[in-house]
Amino acid sequence: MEDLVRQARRGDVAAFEALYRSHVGRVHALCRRLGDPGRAEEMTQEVFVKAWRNLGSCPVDRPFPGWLCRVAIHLILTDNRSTRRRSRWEVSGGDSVSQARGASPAPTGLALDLERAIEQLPPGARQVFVLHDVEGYGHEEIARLLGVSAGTSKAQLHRARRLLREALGS
Amino acid sequence: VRNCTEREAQLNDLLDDLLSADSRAELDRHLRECAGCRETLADLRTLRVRTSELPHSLEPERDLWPAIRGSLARGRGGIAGVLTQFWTRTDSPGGSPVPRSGRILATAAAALALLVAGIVAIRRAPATSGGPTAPPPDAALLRHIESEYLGPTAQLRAALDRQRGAAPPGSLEVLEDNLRIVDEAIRQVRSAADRDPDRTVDEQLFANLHRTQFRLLQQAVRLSSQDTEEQPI
Repeated sequence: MEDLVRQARRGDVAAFEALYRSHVGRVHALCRRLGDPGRAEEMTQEVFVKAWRNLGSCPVDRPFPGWLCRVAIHLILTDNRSTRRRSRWEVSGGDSVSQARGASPAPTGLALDLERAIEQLPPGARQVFVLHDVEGYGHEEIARLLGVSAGTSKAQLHRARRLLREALGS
Repeated sequence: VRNCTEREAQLNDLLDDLLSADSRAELDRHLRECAGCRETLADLRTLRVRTSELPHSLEPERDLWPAIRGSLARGRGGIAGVLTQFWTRTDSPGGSPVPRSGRILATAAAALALLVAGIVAIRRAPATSGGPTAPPPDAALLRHIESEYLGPTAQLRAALDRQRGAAPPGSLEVLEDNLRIVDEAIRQVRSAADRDPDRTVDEQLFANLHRTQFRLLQQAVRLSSQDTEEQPI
């Protein structure tokens, strides 16, 4: 892996393709869960293009997957903010899982039920839930990423869990 | 005494192991008496298990690499198009105007300017002299140019790899972006020289590319050294 990163940093596109093949599923999962699911593939492409342009800032002594995920998270959250400003795609206010964001295919099975329920959470709650419960980030770091307080992050997490329990009937 | 709605935050904190010992003991006492809170806690734990079972990887429905590959080429300043004109076939001295790049970065512009200058020189020669086209590239000369820079650039790359971690994120980005452009230019020139002996290459231009590569590496190493030195002791 380190060799591939070094080669890609020197402009070796074949090495970068190998990195893409190894990590595209991970990045696409992040884009789908954290961003607009209808734009997940587009965002996945943007993440890899941005990663290519910023390979020079990838520390050689730290794992590439972690660095790549951070690039993805920053890009997705930035896109979420600009998308919200443009079109207000989130359903504001109400504490119910939205039915308005049906960009994903019909789910089958428990895991896909949960995927679908996560997609339909209000954006703030969804971002915190994915970052905390799926990706394992702490509230302090989430607060920095989202530009909110740690208390807000915690409140959004509790809200997300409540909404998911209701949606899944668990 | 708290009601059960107010307990929700406590139950979440219990799940996340954020409760103090005292708070936990108090909540445990409440849980022994409250079926509703026990059910909520069980639901939260079920949700946690189901969340942990979500796949870490979700493959896209189509292969995104071709589109990404295209963006990489554009993101590198359309260098493939410029390099196409770096070469001229001995049987075809004419050509189209040099394309303007949409993303030429500051330092790379110097290297690309050298390329453009070389193209003009190569193309003008047959038109003004009317004589024979330029001689085929001297493979030994190209190898000599490469060998001159091989050791020094390898040392600089090794130094850069060692020091990169100390540089603030993004500080080397532009330099290394430019470096990749020059690296790719050298690689393509060399590859085409090996592949097609009918093409000619300006060896001075080839040397200039190596010199630019060397200078970019020098700047990157110097920058990362300064960043290291500036760290508080």
